[in-house]
Amino acid sequence: MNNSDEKIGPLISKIFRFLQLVAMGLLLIALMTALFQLPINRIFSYIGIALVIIIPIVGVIAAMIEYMRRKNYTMAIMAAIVLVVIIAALLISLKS
Amino acid sequence: MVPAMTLIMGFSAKQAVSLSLMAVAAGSTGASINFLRTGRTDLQLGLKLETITTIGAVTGAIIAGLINERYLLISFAVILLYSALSMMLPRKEIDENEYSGHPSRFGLGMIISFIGGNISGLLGVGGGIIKVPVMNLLMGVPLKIASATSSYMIGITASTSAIVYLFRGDLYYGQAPPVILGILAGSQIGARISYKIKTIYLKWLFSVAIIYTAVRMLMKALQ
Repeated sequence: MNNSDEKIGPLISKIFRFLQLVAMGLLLIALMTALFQLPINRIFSYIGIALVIIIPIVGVIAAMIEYMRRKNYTMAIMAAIVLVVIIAALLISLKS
Repeated sequence: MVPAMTLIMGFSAKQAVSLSLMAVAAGSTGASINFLRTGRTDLQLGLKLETITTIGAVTGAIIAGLINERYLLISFAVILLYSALSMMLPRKEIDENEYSGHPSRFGLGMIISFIGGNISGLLGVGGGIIKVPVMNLLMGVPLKIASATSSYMIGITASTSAIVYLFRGDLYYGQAPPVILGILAGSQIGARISYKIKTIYLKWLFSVAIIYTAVRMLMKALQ
């Protein structure tokens, strides 16, 4: 395995775990409030879902920052390209 | 997942696709937590391939109207069947502990990943079906590392698509919490089981999934 990955992988894993726990908590609250038919469940549900779907992209941003910090600029540029392509894909799909 | 949601649970196709995207993003993150922590995910390879695959997917979506979908489906189904059979044939598998982190035939892998991304964008087929055989058969990446890396990559693609749905207001979040919570729990369990399962069983399981996808593609082409 690549040397820098040995450190960056566990770091991204920690970020994923933390964000996922927060998202799971929010979704559990959403589920409970929905059971008691409280209107607030939509807010928890929406924030929880938004968090779940941005976690992988947060992972790419974290990888980019960490590669830059470790002066592995090739990989930092790769991560930046992934982000640019994602943004381009979003803009293209939103325009069409 | 989409057929199960539409046929068994009675969701509309649009609801099923949006729920499935959220579930894939969540499941991929859940599985990646374990794989990234133990160093099974080749992060550098994942990011490099993701760059070209995403560009391929965007290009595929743009040129969707210009290509005869039938020929594309047939040719890709043949490639998938070939890779499924190659995976099933006995051959020396590189041990994941011996993997140096330097895949072979990187250029060719990038080209096929671009075509795979194209197909994915054109037809909406899952990326893992394309990425895992490319990494394993072509680039010599051990299967368990290939599937862990693919899991990390799929999450990025799925979350991009899910964000598009979110911005369009097509995300059905009312039914999402139980689906996502179930997927999160299931992906964590699956990732832990994958450490104990023998590579040969994983290969057979994956080959069956590839054959199923190829047959569905052929059926769609011949309709």
